[in-house]
Amino acid sequence: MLTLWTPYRNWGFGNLRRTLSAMDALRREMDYMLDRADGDGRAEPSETSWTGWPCCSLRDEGERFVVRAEVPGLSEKELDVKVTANTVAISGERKAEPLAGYSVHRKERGTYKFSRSFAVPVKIDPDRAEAKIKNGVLELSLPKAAELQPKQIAVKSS
Amino acid sequence: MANQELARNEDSRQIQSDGSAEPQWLTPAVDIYENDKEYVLLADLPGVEPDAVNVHLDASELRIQGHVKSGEETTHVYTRAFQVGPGIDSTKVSAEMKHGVLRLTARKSDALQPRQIKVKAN
Repeated sequence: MLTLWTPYRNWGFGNLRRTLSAMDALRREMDYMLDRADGDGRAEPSETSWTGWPCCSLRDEGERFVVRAEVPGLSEKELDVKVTANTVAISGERKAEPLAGYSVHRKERGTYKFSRSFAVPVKIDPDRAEAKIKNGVLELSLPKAAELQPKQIAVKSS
Repeated sequence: MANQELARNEDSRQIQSDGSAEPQWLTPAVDIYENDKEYVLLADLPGVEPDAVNVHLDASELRIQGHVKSGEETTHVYTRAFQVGPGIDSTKVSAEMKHGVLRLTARKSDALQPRQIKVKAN
């Protein structure tokens, strides 16, 4: 199918909005890079800047979503997990203070106060959600809402 | 344990594949501390079972490796190597895993331990 070529269609406010949002994105990127450039290259713990910690993944396993977060050094008591029908939030603090009575040769493990939340693409059942932690990895199981689960339909012969 | 990290790019090679996907090599964040008696190394190894950690120490090098497994298959390998001086007593190295953090303690050789020298009166 042929479409009429209208080179000036995208001019005007639509174009301006896109330009401004691109500039915003660039500014956020620069802020993030400057944050990272502080000190030894790892961002200092802060309430406002995003440190990228913990490393998280969200995957769809058909009947459920699984969130995996790498939180080495944290036990179950130091994590707070909140789940609603379409969001999940993980927060906590990983302390990595220098050992008392030792001199420091290398300090790469940071202290992170974090709070991360995700929007889950479809409705989940918060009552059946489960969280477990093992070897410094938090895994959340978020079953999709019952109305989204496939139903077995009996085939009748007539 | 000197504060000098060895370039181990050759370790980034993929292990031979037996049909399964090759593991991804990762560099863990590490802290190193020292006092009169010992060195302490802490490494973030999330997802690594305690029995999947290898600590290898020879005369000049300390290497730690942690394997993240999914069933039988190793999906990720954390690896890091450090140069060590002669001051470490290799028979007195201990390691433990807790909440995905490796804590390795290496005692200094007795020759390096500080000693109190008595001053004799003449």
